[in-house]
Amino acid sequence: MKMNGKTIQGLTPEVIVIPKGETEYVFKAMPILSYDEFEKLCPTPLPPEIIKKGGAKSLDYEDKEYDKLITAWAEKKAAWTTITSLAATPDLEWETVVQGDPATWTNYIAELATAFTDIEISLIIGLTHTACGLDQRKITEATDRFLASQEQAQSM
Amino acid sequence: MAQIDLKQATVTIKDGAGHSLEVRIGEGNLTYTEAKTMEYKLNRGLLDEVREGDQVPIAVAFDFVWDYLKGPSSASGSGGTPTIEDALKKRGAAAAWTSSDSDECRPYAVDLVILYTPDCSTGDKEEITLPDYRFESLAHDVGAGTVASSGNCNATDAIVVRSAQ
Repeated sequence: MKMNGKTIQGLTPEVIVIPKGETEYVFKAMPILSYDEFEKLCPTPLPPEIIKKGGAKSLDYEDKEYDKLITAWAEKKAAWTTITSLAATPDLEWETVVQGDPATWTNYIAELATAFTDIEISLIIGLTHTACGLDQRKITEATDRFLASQEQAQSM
Repeated sequence: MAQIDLKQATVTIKDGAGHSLEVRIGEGNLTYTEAKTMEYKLNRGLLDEVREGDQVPIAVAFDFVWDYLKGPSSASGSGGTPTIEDALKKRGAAAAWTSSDSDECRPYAVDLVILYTPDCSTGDKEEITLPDYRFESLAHDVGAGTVASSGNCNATDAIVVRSAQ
């Protein structure tokens, strides 16, 4: 895809360096352009269907069991997003997280917690959010910069 | 004979492989009868020994008007929500259901699970499972939301569990 004749670079990594003693740990996060692999392993749960007298059908989004399923699914999606985005980090190996096993994905926080503080973990997860375009603050700042430059151009 | 007022209750029809159909009851009754035969042996004309005779299956009868049926979404690829008749007969959207009876050679059966939640918040919930129910009569009208059925369970006792709301 191109804009103004330039190919849009969708896969630009975000980088953060966390110093620990003499060592600097470099984390790289890549944007995720497709969730097909996630959906294959962990399909979005569907709410149950309700049939009323006369045969009218509707979906029950208030169902308690569906609520549990969709909450667990959302947790897995967030975990998958983080570990998949961080897969761009060279030599990063998880001990209890297996990419193809949804039951292990949420272990990543416990693993990070064995080596990093809460604030450092927030920075690492924040990095993946930024890479995946989930950082609204960054998008707002870029939009403001663009609008300011447009105003400047008009006033000249 | 236990008689349950089904207002504010749900009846869930379950197969042996995780499929289920929840039926929200508007009004109606369900009765089930657990029976035992006892053989009293006399000794010179006087009552003496007592032995348990042949087992008797639980007799079940229900007659209710349902408010709604709840099952899997049509988009889930499971065939959608079956009707009560489908679930009891293993047909239509319930064609892929598996008998709740572990013996595949026996006729198709389902478990009936009645969840009764009293109006007052202090009363315990009661879940009654009638295992391996096979209907012997069935009348169902989807338009009117009525169903009446009777039959037996291949078990001598219902499984009753009470828990706090």
